[in-house]
Amino acid sequence: MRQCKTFSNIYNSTNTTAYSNTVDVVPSGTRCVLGVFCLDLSAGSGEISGGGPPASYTFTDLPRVAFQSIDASFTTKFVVPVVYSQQTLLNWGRARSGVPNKVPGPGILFDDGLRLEIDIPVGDSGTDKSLFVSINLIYSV
Amino acid sequence: MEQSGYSSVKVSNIVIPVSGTRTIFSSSLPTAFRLYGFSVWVQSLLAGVYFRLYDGDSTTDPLWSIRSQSRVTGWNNFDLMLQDDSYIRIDDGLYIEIEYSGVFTKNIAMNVFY
Repeated sequence: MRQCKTFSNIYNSTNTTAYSNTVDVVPSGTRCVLGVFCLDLSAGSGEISGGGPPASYTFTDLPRVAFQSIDASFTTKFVVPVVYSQQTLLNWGRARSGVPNKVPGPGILFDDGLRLEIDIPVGDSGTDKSLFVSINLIYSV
Repeated sequence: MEQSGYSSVKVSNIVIPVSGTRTIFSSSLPTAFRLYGFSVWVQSLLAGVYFRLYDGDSTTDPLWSIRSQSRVTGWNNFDLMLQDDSYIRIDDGLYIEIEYSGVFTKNIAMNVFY
């Protein structure tokens, strides 16, 4: 059996300021294996009127999380866009679920630490539609 | 007696605690155990409600956190099931925190597989 650790946090932009930051999950020099990642999006004031962020579903406009090694060049292994994980029949209501993405096989090996590069664009202006990104990871070291 | 290779399941209907405080999932669940997964059902989540799980009555380093957005009436469900060879070790009891503003009186039904 493999004992796993979790990483969990929620980050957000505002309706005027984007969020861009990096977080070291596993320190440099430590091997880890990522087994599950679960990224989820919600907006500040809901979407009662039917609109709401993100305004664009172009990949580079979406909130996104890059999974990187902590080597000299912070090599990016893969990047995941963050979208609403479940949408109900009514456009103005979105159930929150957070879909765990299970990595097949033994998982993804990060042989020199694990760093997240988080980019969250500005939410819709005019109302408090900041964007919230929840990040949940399960990994073993 | 537990048989090797099988999960036990504990079902609990949890009264939502005061916002920002932790409540133990179930007093009849062992304090230390191997967590294999969980399922959560909650009715009519308000927008901006935070759901967090902790190992122990902690205020830092949650095991799991989700922020809700739905305002629809009905039951929302989310879950986590670890892969067959994996588990998360809980040492100080499994605690739940709901952070919200205003009135929020719904209960949460939750299954824990261990």
